[in-house]
Amino acid sequence: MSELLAFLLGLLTNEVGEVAPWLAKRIIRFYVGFLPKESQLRYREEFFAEIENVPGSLTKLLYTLKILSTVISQVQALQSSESDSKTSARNSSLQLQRVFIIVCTIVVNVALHGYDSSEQRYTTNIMIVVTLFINYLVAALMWNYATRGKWKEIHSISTELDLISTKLEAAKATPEDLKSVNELKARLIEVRKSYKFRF
Amino acid sequence: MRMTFETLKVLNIFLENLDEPQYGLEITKATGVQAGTLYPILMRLETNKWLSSDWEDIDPVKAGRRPRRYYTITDLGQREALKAQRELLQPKLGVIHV
Repeated sequence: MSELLAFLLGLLTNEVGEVAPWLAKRIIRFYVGFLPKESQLRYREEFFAEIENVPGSLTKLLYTLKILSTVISQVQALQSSESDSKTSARNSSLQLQRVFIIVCTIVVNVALHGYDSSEQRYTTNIMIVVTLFINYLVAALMWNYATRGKWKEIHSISTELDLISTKLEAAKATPEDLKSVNELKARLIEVRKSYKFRF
Repeated sequence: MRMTFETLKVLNIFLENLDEPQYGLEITKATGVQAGTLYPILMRLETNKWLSSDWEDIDPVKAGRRPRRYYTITDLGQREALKAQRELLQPKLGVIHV
């Protein structure tokens, strides 16, 4: 049994090694879709050029995952220069994202494996690590996809608030601007309240 | 702009090599800042016009690879980076060192 498993693992490693560069490019193409349209082509080419410089096949894939692990921060960085409202919105969302991914990973792993204390612990541990990695990827992809709309909404409200605050600083704000501040704040609170992941 | 330790490390590379454009992987190696952290920093610095970037001028067929995206620090970036470094190094009043 252990020989068969070793053979299968060897085969899997070989396959993954060969497929990794192709997979890295596919992942980049998919993730770059989350960036603003005008930046997509530029960053796709930049990331492709970067991974070409990374030696090894699996390393290319890992480097890609590292680049793209912070896709939300990248979207935020590209969409605007920072303001307090955006920073706090991003921080709270990132915390939610982390909690979501950790909970998903634990739930899926407990459901798949339960708690194992038998003599095949070593094999099971390898399987758990592989599954953890796959779960993490899937959960991260699902989270990013599902929360795209909310991010755009939060960002547009923040931009409007920033515009008014710039006007206020320049003493050019109209009474309508001041009225809309309260409406925008209320909308922002609503969006944040409804900021829940739904399947 | 929000200034983190990693951002300062990245800016420092540009300040140390003013005439040398840098690309992502090179900056990662030089600073030890992970790729996942580096790109949001580069994007933020470029959005705020502290950095500018351009494609490498090579023939991809002859070079056998894609052109890299090279980043250069702008005048504004130099001024702001130096200011940020000074602020970081300045002893803060009201802090009691034991």
